[in-house]
Amino acid sequence: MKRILKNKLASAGLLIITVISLFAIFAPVITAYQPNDINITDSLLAPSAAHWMGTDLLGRDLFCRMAYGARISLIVGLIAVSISVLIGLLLGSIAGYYSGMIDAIIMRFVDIMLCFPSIFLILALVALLEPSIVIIMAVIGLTSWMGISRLVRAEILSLKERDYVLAARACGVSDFKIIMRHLIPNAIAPVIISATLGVAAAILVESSLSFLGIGVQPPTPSWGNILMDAKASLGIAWWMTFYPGLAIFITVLGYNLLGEGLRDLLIPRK
Amino acid sequence: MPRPVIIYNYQKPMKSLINGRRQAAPLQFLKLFELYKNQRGNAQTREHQSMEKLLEVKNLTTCFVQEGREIPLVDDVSFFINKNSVLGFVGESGCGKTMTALSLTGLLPGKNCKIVSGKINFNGQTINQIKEKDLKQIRGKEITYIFQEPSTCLNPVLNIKEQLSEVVQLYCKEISPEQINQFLIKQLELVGIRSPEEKLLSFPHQLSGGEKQRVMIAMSMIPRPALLIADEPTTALDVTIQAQILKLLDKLRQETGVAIMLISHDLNVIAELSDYIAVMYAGQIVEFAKAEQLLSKPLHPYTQGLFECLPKKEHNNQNKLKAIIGEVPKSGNFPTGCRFHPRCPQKFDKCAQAMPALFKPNPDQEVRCWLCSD
Amino acid sequence: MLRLNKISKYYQLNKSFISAISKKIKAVDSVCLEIKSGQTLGLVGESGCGKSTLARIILKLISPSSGQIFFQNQEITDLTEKQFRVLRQKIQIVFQDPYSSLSPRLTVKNIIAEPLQAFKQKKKLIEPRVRELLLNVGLNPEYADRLPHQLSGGERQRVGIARALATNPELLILDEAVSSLDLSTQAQVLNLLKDLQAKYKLTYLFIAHNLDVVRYISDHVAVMYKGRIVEQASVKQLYENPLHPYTRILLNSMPSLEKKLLLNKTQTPNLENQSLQPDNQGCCFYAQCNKAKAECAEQIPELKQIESGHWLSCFKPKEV
Repeated sequence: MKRILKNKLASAGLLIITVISLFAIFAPVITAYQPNDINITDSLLAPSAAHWMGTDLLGRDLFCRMAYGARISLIVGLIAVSISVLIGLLLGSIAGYYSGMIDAIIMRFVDIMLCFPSIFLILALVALLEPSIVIIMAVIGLTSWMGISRLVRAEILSLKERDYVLAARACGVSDFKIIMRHLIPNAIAPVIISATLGVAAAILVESSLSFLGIGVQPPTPSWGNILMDAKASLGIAWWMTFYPGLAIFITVLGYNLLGEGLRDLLIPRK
Repeated sequence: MPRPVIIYNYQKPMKSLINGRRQAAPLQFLKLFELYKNQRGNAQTREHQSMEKLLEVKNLTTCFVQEGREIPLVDDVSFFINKNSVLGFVGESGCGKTMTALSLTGLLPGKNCKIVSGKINFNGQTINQIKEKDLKQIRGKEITYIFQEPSTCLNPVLNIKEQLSEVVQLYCKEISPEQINQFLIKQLELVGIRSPEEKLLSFPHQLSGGEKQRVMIAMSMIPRPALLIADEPTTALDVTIQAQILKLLDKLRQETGVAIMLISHDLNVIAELSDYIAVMYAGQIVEFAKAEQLLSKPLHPYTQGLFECLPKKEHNNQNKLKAIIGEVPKSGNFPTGCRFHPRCPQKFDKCAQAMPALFKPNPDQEVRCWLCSD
Repeated sequence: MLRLNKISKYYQLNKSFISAISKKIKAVDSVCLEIKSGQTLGLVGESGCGKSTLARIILKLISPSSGQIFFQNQEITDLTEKQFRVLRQKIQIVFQDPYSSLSPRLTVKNIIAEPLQAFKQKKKLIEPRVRELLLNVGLNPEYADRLPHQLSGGERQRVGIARALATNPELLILDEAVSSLDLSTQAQVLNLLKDLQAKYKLTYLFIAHNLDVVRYISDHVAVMYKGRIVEQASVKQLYENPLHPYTRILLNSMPSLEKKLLLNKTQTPNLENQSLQPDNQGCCFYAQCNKAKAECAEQIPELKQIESGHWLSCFKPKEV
């Protein structure tokens, strides 16, 4: 932890993420309104003391919607990445450890999955199934595990030949235990970095989907669908586009900085 | 013997003069090379030179600065190397041998390592405080290095000719581009590489470990340095190749007059080649003596312990190796007084209280031990 | 205790559908070895000669292309992994590099406990056993909670030895176990190995390239070159009367305190480019031997017993 704090990039990223997360967690506490308090009389009010970020077309307090939207974005980001890490670790470690035919098959599967443009895949899946938060998380997770599996496979291919793995095999330790105890903990560093950057990417994807209308459905607030609502009032209400855009920008920046900082820390230099 | 005067007119090779006589171009070049080879004097002058000090280091201290604390890596080290002789540096890992070698020409890694005090005298010139520009004249030209892992010292994407040419262009400006090939072949033959023409065009990964080390030696001998620092040159090589490299180093010393500073943790290797031996422990020199003196009668308990650690014919189940108990202390955690005293079988009260200076029990030997203080 | 009968391991180069002949690299070629219970066999050879491959074959981490392995008079060559698992307790290995032989993220306690857990030792008994093993190898039991990077090279090697001893093995393979240690640490570990052998009646297969160390610790020595055993004898016989030219070159190439190398006028032949070449008939040392005759290039010399306990693979032993 101390090392993270010493690294400027990582600590800057961590600070941003902490602020946004607190913002999201304490959403009900810091806002006086509810996200779906429709109040037509107050529609499209500029930011003021009463409404810190103004109101939208239906008079809902933007600050409140942003706070609840932060929850959605962060949850989607984190869970989608967790899904992709799990799948990536599983397939990558099996491919790396067993090599040969199994490795070839899994890698060809990865190649095939990479051939699909993920946007179209996501659109197709969401069109088939009802768009909801769970579907979004699953879909983003299922289309972004490929990079991680390649990383894991590469690390494990090199770690497999280390003496301590041979010693474990000579003791008759089962393959599963070798992978779980020896290989994955030592291969996890690039995965953590990739995962952190992946959260940023997942938030962007979710926002894009919501913006297009196929992500989180209104009335549940999400930064993406706030932007969607903002389209209608583009010229008149600058705050409707500014704040969600800024929030997405800062969050993605935060995760990217943390990822870069972790890369400096975790990839050991001599 | 007066030095031959060489006037090489590189713009008009046919008109060059060597000692006032006109020669054909290829012959000129060969003569140039022969003269170049003998530049350090013939055998008679060399014996005389063996008594002259080439490098003299006095009270050198190099520290690693961390959070305001200075951790000494090399502590009050003094030694000398005579011209055309071999100094062997023996010590275990972490004792500061490599740091000493790197301090000599300012090659210390990172901004935190620096020479704190001491004087380094090379060929009559003090070199520890001079400017980087002047140091560059010495480093790489008068003092060259070879390291332990030849594979990491050679650029894998350039072939041998390109890498050696780089050195030639830096330090042997009188050799024109057309003659570089011929020159490099001669250099490779000097270090004993078979079929040098082919090897010049090959890449490092196509050479074996021994050949790579020979290429490194050739690279460091191109500028005909006065001092060659060899940092564990044979540790990564097989025993038979090691024997050949050691013989090569000796041959180079005899033929070109270079002095060698040989660093190793293997006492046998040091004993084979050295005229003088320095034993290092925990950043200090604990014994410095002429090779014959040290090998026949080591005075410091650590040196004696090292000799006893070498498995020999006499050791068997009944007669066991006498190992030195304990471990080498890490920098920053040195004991008070003599740094070896916790592991010393001959210690007494004074050893824990005060650090012994380098005493001279006889003119050819210096020992850092209270046992030799009288 | 252990007997190898004509063990060979070939690796294929250039697998192609077109040519029927695919080049083979003989990592290990027709090796016959025998180690008696309670003794130490030293296996000497330079890098690339196949010593480590042989060690892995004995541990059944690689399967041999041909030949049989007998452990305690039982053939284990064709045993499946399941059947062999029980015997794994009896054969263990200590590796060369103390830095990569211990898993960086596990504590010393977990490292040593791993073989015990693999063989389903009761949880209650593991901790006292770990303490006992640490004391046996000369380490303070407080080290149990440390991570490998907090230990020195000699201490890590001791942890490696403790791990190998965890399951009470009978045969211990030491793959260059002291080669990367400092002189004083090397002496300590060698003495430790000798003490352990006497205490637990262990059998050692000591693989090394340093002939002095091998002489100190072994009872018998086998010399390997390019995958073949060229000479095998008791320590006394090999060092006093080496017969194979390669053994002689090895012994002559050792630097020593008596300045043997530089005073020795004989030219040591260039043994470089020892890369494993594809299958060729004839003695493996033919290209470098200065006493080679025509027949040495045509037939592979068998390992024959020259005198009691001294085996040699050469056509002209007396002339050499």
